[in-house]
Amino acid sequence: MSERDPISLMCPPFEEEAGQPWLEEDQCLAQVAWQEKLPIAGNWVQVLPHLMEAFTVALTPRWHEVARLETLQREVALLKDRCAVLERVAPILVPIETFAPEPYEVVKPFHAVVRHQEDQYIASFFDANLSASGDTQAEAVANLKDIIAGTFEILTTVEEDELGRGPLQQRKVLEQFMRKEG
Amino acid sequence: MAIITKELALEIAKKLKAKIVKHTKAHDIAVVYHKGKLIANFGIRRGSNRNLGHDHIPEQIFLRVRDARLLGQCPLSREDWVKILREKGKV
Repeated sequence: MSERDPISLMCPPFEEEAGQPWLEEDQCLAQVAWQEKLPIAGNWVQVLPHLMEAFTVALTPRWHEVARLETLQREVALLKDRCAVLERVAPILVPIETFAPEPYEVVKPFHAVVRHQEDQYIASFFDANLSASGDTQAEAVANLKDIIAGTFEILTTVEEDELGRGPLQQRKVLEQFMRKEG
Repeated sequence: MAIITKELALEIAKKLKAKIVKHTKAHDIAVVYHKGKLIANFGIRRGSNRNLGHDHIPEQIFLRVRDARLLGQCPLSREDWVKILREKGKV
């Protein structure tokens, strides 16, 4: 039997095989096109290293592409996690429009800033330097209202000349935003 | 877990010789006097849980969280605190 090139080994003619051809014709053509770049002669033992090399060369860009996609997937997952954290910890503004059922009314609505810290929430009315903690955002805001009402009552019952700078400023700010009902 | 727990908040109040002057629905409000003037106030949450979060206290007493912790844990004295307030123009 004469020495056959690897193409014919891979793509035997129809008449030589009893069963179905090993490869379809177009697959064979593709293999031929590929192999034309290779210095193939002789048997499979000689051909295999060349095929492996060609295979590697052909697949390298694909591997790079896959690696790039995997990197992108990791980065997207990381960004998703960071977004979730930011959504959880980003400060929110909560309008304060009532102190009900406490006997105070809001003269001018203001905002509480609620932020996440450690495993709790802190609600603050920065202008009056008043803050309160809570296990949830709602609890922190409710606690802030409670603190504001209580502090307002204390500050308005103390003589002005008994108030230090900080509490005096708190009182002046609070008086702009709230007053006792009746 | 909160940095300033209720236990630490009570220590801070004790250290500053704060007086509880008002009991609201959810808090005991502590006030601190210095030379006859009310210079700071903060709320201590009601509840038996000693780990209840009080991380709002540092800003109410014009301190960084780290310094508020030191105040409750001893290294920072009331006098040191008043000095800090004086430097910040709060007294």
